[in-house]
Amino acid sequence: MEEPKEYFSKIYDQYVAQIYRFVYLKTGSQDIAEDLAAEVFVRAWESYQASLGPEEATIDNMRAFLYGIARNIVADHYRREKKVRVVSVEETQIEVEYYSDGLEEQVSVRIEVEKIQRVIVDLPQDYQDLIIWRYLEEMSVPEIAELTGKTEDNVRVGLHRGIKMLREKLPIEAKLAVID
Amino acid sequence: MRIEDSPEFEDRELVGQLSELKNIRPREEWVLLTRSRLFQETQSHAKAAQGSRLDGVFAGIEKIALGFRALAAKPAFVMPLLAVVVFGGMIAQLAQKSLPGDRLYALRSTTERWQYGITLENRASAQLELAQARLQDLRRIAQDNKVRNLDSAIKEFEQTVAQASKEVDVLIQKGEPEQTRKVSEQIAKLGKAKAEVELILGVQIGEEESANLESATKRLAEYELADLALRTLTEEQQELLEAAEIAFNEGEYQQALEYIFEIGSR
Repeated sequence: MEEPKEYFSKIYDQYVAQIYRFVYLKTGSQDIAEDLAAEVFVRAWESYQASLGPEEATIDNMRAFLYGIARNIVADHYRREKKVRVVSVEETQIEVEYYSDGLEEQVSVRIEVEKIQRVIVDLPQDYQDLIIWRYLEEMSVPEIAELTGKTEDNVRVGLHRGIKMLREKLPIEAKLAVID
Repeated sequence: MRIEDSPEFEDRELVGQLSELKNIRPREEWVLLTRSRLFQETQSHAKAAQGSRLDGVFAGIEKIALGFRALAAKPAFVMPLLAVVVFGGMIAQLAQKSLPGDRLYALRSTTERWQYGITLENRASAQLELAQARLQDLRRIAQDNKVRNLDSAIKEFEQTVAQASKEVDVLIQKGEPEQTRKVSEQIAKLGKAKAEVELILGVQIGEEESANLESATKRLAEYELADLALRTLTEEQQELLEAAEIAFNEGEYQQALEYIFEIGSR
């Protein structure tokens, strides 16, 4: 039988990047994400130890458990902090033509990714979660439904609304023209 | 079903861009430190054993690392040299845990400067991040009761804040709105964190340097208020601007900046 620490250590290795990414995308700050994500695993480890009885570990779905803690910790963080962000009052249409030069392509992709990252932080928490789980962590709709306790229809509707809101909040996208 | 084929989603480009966010990963040092924090009890004996074996190595590393600090402004030199010295990842891991006053701190300080990407464009922001890191060190010192590191850590914080104040002045003169707003936010955050750490330690730290930073805060608030006066604002934003001006006139520069941030978020 595996020792609890060995078992949880594997859980940590398996999920640390996912949980960090989840928290980072919801807060937009590396410092905050590191603090909160660490707290997720501390709480999970404490809960896991508390749940150990004569038999094996009783937490059936560790991924759902970790995400649940992560959601609560992020929500607590926003309740505690008065979050103020400076948003540029200017929105400019950026036209970027990228050539076959790899560096320019990387830069333009990075600009787009950073824009999306900033917008995700502004979405309602539920939409953030759905978008992250579906399109980054590639979870299926049934998996997300099981994770959240919602119906699959609710998940689909939420995804549709979340993506629509994301698209509406994005500045006018850079138009990319591939030039051979 | 593949994501790209899912019926509720048409915009393939947005899917692709969302996928890029999968590249967001935590820092390796943080991953290692967090793991060690989770299982502190079992690792404490291993750490003690490591310390005695590595003392001789530390002396040599420290000497080289002090030389690195002089080259820290020249990234082209730093990385190849670091790659030579930081063998096996073990020394790097230990250095990351070091505090001001520890033997490996010089190495950590150098890698931090690389990590924060100090360039000509973002010096103020990077220096404020470093100041924040020094406050975290002080918090750790207080929590772990590492009294011997306290003086060095306070001195490091003071030096970093002094440098940050100078860089903020340079930034204000350059007049770059995006960078200025980011720095304003960082100063507000630093002020709060400093107050918390002072509460924990029971002493005021970096009084002179903090006065310089307060002056920088005042200049930043002045700059932001002047900028906002030229913009068209909603009624709500106008009220916040008036509150910011009142706070500024009463000498509450950090409060003024917070009102200014609110304007940006409305």
